[in-house]
Amino acid sequence: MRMMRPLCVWAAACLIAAVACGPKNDGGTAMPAPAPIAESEAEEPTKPVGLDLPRAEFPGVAHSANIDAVAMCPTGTCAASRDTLGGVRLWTALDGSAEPQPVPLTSVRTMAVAKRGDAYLVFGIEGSSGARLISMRPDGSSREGFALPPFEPVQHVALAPGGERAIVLMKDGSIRVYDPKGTLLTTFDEKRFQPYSVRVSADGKHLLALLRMERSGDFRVEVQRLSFGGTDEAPTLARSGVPHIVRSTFAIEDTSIALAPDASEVAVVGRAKNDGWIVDRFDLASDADPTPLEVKVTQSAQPRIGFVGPERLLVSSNEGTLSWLIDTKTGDLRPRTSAPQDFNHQGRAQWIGAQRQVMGYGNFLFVHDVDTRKHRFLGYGATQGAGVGLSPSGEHVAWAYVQGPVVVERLDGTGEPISIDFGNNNFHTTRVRFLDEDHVVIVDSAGEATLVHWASGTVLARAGVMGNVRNVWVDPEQGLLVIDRHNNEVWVYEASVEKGFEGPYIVADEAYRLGLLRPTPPSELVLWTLDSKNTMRQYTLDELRSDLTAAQSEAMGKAMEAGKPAPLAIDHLGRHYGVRWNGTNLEMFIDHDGKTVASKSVPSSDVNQVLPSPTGDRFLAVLNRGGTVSVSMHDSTTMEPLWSYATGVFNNDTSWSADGRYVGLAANTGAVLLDSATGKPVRKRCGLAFQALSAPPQNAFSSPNQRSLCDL
Amino acid sequence: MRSTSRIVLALSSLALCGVAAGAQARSKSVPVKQIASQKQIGSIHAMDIIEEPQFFHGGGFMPAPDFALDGQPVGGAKAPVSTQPAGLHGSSVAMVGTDVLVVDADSGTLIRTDRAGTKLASLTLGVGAAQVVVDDAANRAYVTDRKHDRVVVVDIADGLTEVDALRTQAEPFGVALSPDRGTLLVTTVADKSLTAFDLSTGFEAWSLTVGPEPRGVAISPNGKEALVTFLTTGVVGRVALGDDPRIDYVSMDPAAPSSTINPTGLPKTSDDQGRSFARNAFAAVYAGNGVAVVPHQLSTPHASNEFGAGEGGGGYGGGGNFAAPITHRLAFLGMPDQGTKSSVDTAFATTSVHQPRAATYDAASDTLFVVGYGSDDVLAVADVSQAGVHMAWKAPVPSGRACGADGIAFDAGSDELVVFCSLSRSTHRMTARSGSQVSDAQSDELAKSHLSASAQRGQAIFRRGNSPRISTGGAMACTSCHAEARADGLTWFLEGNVLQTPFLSGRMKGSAPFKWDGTDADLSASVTNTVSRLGGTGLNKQEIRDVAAFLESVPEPRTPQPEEKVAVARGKKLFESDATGCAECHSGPLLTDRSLHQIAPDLPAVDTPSLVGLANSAPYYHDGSAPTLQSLLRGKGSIHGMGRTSKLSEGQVSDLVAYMESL
Repeated sequence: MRMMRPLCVWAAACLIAAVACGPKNDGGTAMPAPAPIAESEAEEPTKPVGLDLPRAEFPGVAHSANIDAVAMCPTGTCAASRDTLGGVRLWTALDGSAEPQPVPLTSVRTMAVAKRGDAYLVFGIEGSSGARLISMRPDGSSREGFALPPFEPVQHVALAPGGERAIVLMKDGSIRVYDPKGTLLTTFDEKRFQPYSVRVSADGKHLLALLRMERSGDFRVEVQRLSFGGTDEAPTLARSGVPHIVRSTFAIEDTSIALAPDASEVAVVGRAKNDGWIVDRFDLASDADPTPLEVKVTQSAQPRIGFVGPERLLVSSNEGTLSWLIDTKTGDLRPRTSAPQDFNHQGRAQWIGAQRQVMGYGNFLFVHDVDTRKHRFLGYGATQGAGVGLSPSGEHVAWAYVQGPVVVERLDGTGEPISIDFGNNNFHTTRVRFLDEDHVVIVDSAGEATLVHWASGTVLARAGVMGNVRNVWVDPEQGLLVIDRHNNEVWVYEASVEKGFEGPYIVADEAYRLGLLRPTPPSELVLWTLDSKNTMRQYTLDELRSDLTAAQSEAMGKAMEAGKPAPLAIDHLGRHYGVRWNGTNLEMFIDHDGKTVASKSVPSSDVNQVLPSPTGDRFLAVLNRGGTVSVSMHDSTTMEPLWSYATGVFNNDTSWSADGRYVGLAANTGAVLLDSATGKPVRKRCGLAFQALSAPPQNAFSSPNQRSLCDL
Repeated sequence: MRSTSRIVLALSSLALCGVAAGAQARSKSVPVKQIASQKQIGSIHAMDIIEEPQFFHGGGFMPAPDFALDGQPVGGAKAPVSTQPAGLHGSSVAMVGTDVLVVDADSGTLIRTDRAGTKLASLTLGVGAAQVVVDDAANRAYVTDRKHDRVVVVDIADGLTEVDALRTQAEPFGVALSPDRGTLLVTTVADKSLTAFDLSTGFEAWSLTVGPEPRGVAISPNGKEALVTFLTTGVVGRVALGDDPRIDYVSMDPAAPSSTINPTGLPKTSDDQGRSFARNAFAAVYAGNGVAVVPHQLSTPHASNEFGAGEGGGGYGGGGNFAAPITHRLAFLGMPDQGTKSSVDTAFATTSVHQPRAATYDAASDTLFVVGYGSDDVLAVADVSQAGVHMAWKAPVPSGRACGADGIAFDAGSDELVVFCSLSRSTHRMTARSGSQVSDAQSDELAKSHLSASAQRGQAIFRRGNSPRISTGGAMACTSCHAEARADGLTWFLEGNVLQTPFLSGRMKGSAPFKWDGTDADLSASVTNTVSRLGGTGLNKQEIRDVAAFLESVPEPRTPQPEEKVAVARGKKLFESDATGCAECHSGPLLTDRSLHQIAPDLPAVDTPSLVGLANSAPYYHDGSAPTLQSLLRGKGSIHGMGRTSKLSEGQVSDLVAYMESL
């Protein structure tokens, strides 16, 4: 047994902290609220997890979805990222010392970021083609610098180092230069000059305009350097150098063409050759032919490039193999760390410049420091609930987490939560159930069931099935443990503190749906199953113990009446719950002995699970509403909903207290215990912790970082 | 009217033509209404139009869900504690106690009915009258008279009595009343404005210039902010009300392309490839917890996969694997601060309601009701201000004929909904809890249409959604790109070309040939070919004639009031001068010589387009390559050398633009 403070439980066992200072809510990308913790604990901020990092001064907000666009400061010290739901984050530091702050921009298509004094400027084109410049403070506060309405569409934006100039390429091809307050400083607008993209050199003295050309065999883009003149207050912009037509066998995108920091040269990914790629260098001061550089990057993915310093070009494969740092003067190649494989965006969600490469990796930001050759993944880990169980008295709740540990605490919040150390737990815990007030049965995903005295951590018994666990039932009153496997078989154990696990009694009747029954004399039935042919079977404990033959099991089957819908659940009173078409509309129903007890019209057949309360007076319906999972509690007499929630994600586990007062939900966004009458949370377990990891985080693509169950 | 005997135009043609949809209807056991004989068709009257049953027709792609929220809900954890009165945003229908007020744009009439739909009084306005909002405490109704540039103030104590009129800028449309009933906000279409009127004085308090094609307006329950919606820009205008009103824009366009761009490595057809655009937002409605909802559609004109695009691929702008280029959505805007910060949470729900156009909110049950102009149905969204937002029900408007639902009001007294059908010019009641019909509470035709019977039928077809005869799977209606017979401001990828959506209003009669390359000799051919291009199985000849009749009936759009009339005159002189040569091709009443011209070496000859309504028809050129008239005149589009404008001064360009916007 380990008595642990709650926060230590999370940080040590889960690598997840219920963050005291808490993730904040974010525009359009709501975040989990912090787990409930006592006031004294709330003053004790949790350290970030992973690399040895200073604690962030200001709590941040995780990305709610995968990052699909990034931009980096010209100085390489800050970045902005956008996720697929449109949320934008500012990373004021790329070493993990600061958590990302939400930027109040909506549906940003293209963005630029720069540090200006103590503030950070984020300049974005919103989905509707208007542009907005936001000034952010490190504490996350923001104010709008200026905005361009969407009715004169903006094509591209960029920021000069220091943020003193905001460059706007309008859709009509004119280039406007503003100061951060929105004062127009100068315009470059030549007839028939219509670039589709513009970028600023790292020294801030030049622009590179990219003009699309018709395809003729290969892909061609005309590049034209423009240079600033005049004064800071009244700059001018004019053509400089020699225009070039750059060519590639692949479409030229933002990450396949690079501008040197002093705008002296441009590099473009040209073509695949032998076992590598040719990157062509163009001298913008002369009309000389390009200089080819050969790079050993696998041909399976078009590499992405960027200048990380004068004459230093990073070529990244974005498919897991090494990157290469090229000295463009000598052609020397130096190996650098691999950018993670970019499953979703083919390397587009990255930015290379000023000694660094930043890239989206799921909802984490990958940062590669080219000089130190180190990399890290910055993001948030989320508390994920695998299972929740309630003691027969309703005084204790046990939480099982996807990350492994099982924690028991009192419902009234008194006393210390206890993390159960029950020996080797190499696999994720999937379910926890109370056998009695002092003992729990823990089942992991490999199929091992462990009977534990939770207060002491003493393991009383172990048993196991061959993985593939679909669901678990424990009936404390009858002392039964039922493990349902995805193979459509059922393993039944008699469980007791005195004898451990007796069994298994294996039921191989192809059941895909089942449940426990409460024997009510003269009936001694304890288990019902339903197979894919809608054949119902019911078993007594003696029958289960008798090692039924396949033929005996088959013979016990009773086909449902033709046209009779299969029940989604059967409660201990033998009442069937389900959804059916009544000839006019869909209805949820409760039938008993073939007669309808109650019914209610429902808008669609989106009820995919029903969980009757042990007392039979309520039931929980799990609904799949257009990709969003919702739960609704209903009165079993009137069928009217008492409350409902959109949990947002698939529920990993749902369980009732024996007295029907509480219902527990566990999902990948946390776990919560609700008052079944009102739906009000009684206890919550959710949270996020900032992480800086050196290995790709396992949960980068699956950790939802969404609205948690605790926000319900 | 309550007659159950209907002639079924659409179904009759289905039956006669033997198209697949009719067979589907039977095989799916959808009740098939009485089918007219061929003989009856000649005597069809517009008000008798009964349409084919609307349901998913297949077509190789998934049907839209009735309601599916994409992303996280923006609402609160609890039901809102709301004190907001219902109906303070404008609609074509509003409650006055148990009576109903209806604005019929077709006839230009304000009508009052009792609960049963019996007409009690009417007031003649201009054709196109748009919205009404009611101050029941003051016994006043305010109606936007689009044609006469005024808001008509009506005494509703007993009957309908015009008592005053507020002069507005050109073409008022949307109207909303502040919660304290002291301020009226009005949008104007032609002048692109939002104007506040102080109702205690009747004077204009302030006015803001907004973007093109504004329509609906709503004021937040606390009166601190307002929302303005637009047809052709994917934004909602968010106006901070108060001493110094200012407008900001919230984007509804998705940031990222709908799918991977260019998987084939082929060049982009356009920077818009794969991108989607929010369009046709006619209304905004505030619910509780700082949540507002904006029904709109999402257009994806350049599918990411170019193979098989165009007619041959079966998709308008789509690819070989057809994905509906038009879907319909509800935008949820979470603005708990209401006007004090720029941060807005957004979430979007896809819905099967075709062309969701109007909505109303019941604060007591926290339910939003949305009507579909193209599908004639109502969607009820429960817990709309909460995290548990979900669909309560969806039901057809019980009109039994083509409805064109464009207004809805909630009657708190009876817990019923009143839907106004703009095509049949009638009202229909449904229960708010289930959407079932309230018997004996459907009105007769409340006013006579100003259109011919043929044009009325054409109007019904023009807006019809979910019809596989019009488009692949029924995903698109004519109005999807041509709401109000105007244009969506987009370019579409068709037959290997990037083509701008043409503006139709006022340009159809006498301007043949049609299409950018003049391939369609007359309007019937153009409609027929467009339906084919949409992937529709086809309309019959009578229906084609009806659509053409409707299009020819749509008047010229209103033009903005010029800032400087003398500039317009100077521009006209320039336009007609030999120096520019504009009038060499753009001449006559519709400003077209109706001829083909070779204007670029890599293009076939191009039909001279009419310039009527030019101020509203951006972007310009056949490929939309010039976003503004200024950029067109400054050689920024794809066409060069058309006319002689390259040497114009900035002032001359400005004058020419002023004139062209007056056309």
